[in-house]
Amino acid sequence: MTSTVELYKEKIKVYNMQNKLLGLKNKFQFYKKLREEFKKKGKATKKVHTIRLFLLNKEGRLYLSRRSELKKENTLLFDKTIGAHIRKNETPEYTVLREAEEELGFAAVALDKDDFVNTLKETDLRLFGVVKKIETLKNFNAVYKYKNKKQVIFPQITTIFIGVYDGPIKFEDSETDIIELFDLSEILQELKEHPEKYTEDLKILIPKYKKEIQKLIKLLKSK
Amino acid sequence: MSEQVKVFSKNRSFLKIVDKSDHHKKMMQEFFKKGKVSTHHRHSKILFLTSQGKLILQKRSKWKGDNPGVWDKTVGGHLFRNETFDFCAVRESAEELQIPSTVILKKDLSQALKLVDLDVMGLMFLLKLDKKDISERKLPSGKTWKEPSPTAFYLGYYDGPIRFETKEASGFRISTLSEIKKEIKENPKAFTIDLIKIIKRWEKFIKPLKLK
Repeated sequence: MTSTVELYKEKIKVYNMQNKLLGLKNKFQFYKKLREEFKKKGKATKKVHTIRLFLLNKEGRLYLSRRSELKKENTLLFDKTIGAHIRKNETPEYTVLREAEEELGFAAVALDKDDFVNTLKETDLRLFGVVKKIETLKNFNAVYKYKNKKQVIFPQITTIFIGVYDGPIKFEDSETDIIELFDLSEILQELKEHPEKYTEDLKILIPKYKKEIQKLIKLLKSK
Repeated sequence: MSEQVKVFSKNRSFLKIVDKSDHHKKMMQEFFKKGKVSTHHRHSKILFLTSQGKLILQKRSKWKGDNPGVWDKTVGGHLFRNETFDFCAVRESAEELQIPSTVILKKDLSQALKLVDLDVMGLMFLLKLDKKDISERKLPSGKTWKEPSPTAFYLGYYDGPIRFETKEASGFRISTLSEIKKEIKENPKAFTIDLIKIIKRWEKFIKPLKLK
């Protein structure tokens, strides 16, 4: 588990708007400057690289995490299963595995194509999670809402993962306070009926990856 | 598989062993016809806290007949035939959220905490065996009904992983007492009547463990 002191030292990869790597920056200092830039110019001109994971259980229901009161942005909103910044010396695949362990307390493995499908069919998904990269979005706008109704929009490079896990979960830090399973149809309806409960991320990405999620559900049902 | 439970008369004498869901239906029908239920089952109900004193609550799945889709105490259920209150509490914790646990005496808690890693297993003790408790349930239609149910209330501590059986629960949360109280005030419908009663009744026990 990462201690608070280590978190303040966390270094993340920073890019310019042309997706050229500028270098490593301290996360807290970087975001402070980025918020200032957004406030002044109405936009941010530097990007970070993040990951987003949509995790299903073996029945094909989607796990959503609620961001706890400790989170300053998107507080108490339901969000994708896992989201995180790519740190120094990390690949997106590694970031997903680290964050699965750090946030929800489970081991995961990132696999591709046939290996992903075979693992779903042949292994006990209560023991570890299996994730697969869908794609990297070079120009994703992440929306962060504050309690005072203000919001900021930060451009990101983000790598999207999908995966399956059916075992125990533990909130390792206090950044998540609820984990809940939703049927895909249920969440699509919820996003329309109660948009105020969900992050902008979900409203963009769940409809966008609906087909990918459905494909995976079909695969799980055929297991 | 059908679940078999013991049924007792109003004056607490043992009547028979029945199928749980069949009998439950009969009790409900009796309630709506006569305004009360003449037989009862026994229950164990457990509220688990983390060692920091946060409440672990389960979200009842939307497929449950009573109280679907609302936040509830950590675990609870009926005593099966030949079960004690203690064993029922241990079984329900294992079945619903896969919390391995045992029941100890309250006076042994601080001793037990020296031996047991709460990341690995839960410890619980009996708060009260309330023979006159009444369980109030809400149906999907919004109607409520009550059954008299002698209930053993337990308070537990657990810091480990949780896996929910999705037919029973669709999620879980770990929240502070003040967060839950605030939400109950704002939106009582999102919680079971049971949980609201338990919090009110045992509030002074809902606090962090004092580790020596």
